[in-house]
Amino acid sequence: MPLLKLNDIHCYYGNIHALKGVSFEIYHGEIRTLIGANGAGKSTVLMAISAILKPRQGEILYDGMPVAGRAPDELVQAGLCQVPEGRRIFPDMTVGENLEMGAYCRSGRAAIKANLEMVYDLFPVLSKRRRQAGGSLSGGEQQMLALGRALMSQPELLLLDEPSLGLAPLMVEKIFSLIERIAGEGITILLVEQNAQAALRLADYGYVMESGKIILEAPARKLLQDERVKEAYLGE
Amino acid sequence: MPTTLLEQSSLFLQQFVNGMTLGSIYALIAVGYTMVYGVIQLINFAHGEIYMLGAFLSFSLVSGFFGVGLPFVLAVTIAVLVCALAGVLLDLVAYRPLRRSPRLAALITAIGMSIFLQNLALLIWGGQIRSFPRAVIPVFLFAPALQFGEVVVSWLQVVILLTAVILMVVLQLIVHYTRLGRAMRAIAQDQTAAALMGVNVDRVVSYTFALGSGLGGVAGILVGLYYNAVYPTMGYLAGIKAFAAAVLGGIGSIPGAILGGGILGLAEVFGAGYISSSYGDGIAYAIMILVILVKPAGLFGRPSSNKLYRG
Repeated sequence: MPLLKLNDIHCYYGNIHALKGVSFEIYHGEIRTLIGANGAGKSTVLMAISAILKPRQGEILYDGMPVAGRAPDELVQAGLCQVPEGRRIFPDMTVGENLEMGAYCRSGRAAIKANLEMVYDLFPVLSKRRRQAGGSLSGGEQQMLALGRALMSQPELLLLDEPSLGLAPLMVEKIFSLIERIAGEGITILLVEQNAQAALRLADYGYVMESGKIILEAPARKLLQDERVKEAYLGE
Repeated sequence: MPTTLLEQSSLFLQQFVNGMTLGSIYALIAVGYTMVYGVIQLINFAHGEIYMLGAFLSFSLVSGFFGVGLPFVLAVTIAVLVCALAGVLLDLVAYRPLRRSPRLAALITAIGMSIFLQNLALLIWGGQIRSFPRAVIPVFLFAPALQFGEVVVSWLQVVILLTAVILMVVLQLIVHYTRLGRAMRAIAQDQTAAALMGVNVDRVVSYTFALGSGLGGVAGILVGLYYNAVYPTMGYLAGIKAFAAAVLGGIGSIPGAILGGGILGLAEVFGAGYISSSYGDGIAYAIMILVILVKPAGLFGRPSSNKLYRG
């Protein structure tokens, strides 16, 4: 059984038909990626999965259970967590408070504290800045904070929206290697990216989105070789 | 007019005490505006009516308007709780259905609810000015607590100041050190991100209305006692002035609302005392206009950064 399954999802913003029948699935322990140009509907897919947007048609199953009718907080409790586009950390809260917000749905002080130490191990720079306001961090550090915050919810499935956005190439490399490490811990990852090259190198399987539809899907290695993908998204 | 230095300084001191008393009441109301604005970017113009409700409920419960007279402390407690509940209901009935509508829709609804609640009070209590029967209020409140020369501080003023200070401290503790407070701050900074972290936004907004409205109710009770006058439109002017205080402090900032309330109370009393008593109300408006012209973000506010994410 797939951990996440989307079946013919249609979403609208007012009269704009943003998703026109999106279907895909992702299995335990995989990294799958959704690539495509700006405005293709990639983020809309993630917002629908997190129940922030309600699809007008179609069904989303997480762990075999429909997402429809569940509040975003219930999904977080069930292990589905999203790192939104633009990181969206809480700028006026300290790094420590931001991380604690990630554990908002959990109980058990000791377990949360252990989790916090794990995050500080993974991102030593956050440990150094734990009393600093989140908004004072650099872009790359904020991305780490957003990842760390999501890890504090003990996710089973992590939705990552454009983690490389606006970062210098070196930092992109660093963030992607951190994502690989997180996946190594057994966390399933759905990665949305415009940086198709980096995303496809990391992922097991990829989908290409164009104006609200998935137009192509294949194992990531194959997509890297695909002529159409090369031309449209890899700049070759 | 006072002529000697002693007379002048005691007049000044008396005005200062009176201004601080009024200021703490404005601060209690202003905090309700600013908290709600912080989480849902709505100016709840019916907040002044919650304050009026606090005054009427406590008056009714102690004076036996509803049939039975309750002991003062019990009556006041019930009045505050009912105000908190009324705030939650107000949001549930009037504002929540409009959460995804343009902001103007909710703003107009807020004005509508304000008019509705004023008229509801008119229907229940009538238009005449009600006053607390002296017999049911603890007598010590009207006795002087401190007196030096001409300057008199009544126990009621002490109670008003202390209540405001204690409640503001408690509120700051809630906002900074509890799970609810952290969720409120998270929603204020980025509502979608908060929801993605598992914050039940609707529930936290309800608690915010409860807290703000409870404080507004307390302010209504205190004013009802202080001026000994309770009437259906009392929330209008007080509400506008407290709103001016919140704007002065920087809407969305709780310390700003507290400071703004204090400044406004002092400015109003000193303006009335030293310029002309008829200028008291005008000063609040003058301050608000000045703030909007010179420093729209207020004393502690900052140009909103999270507008970036709002469509």
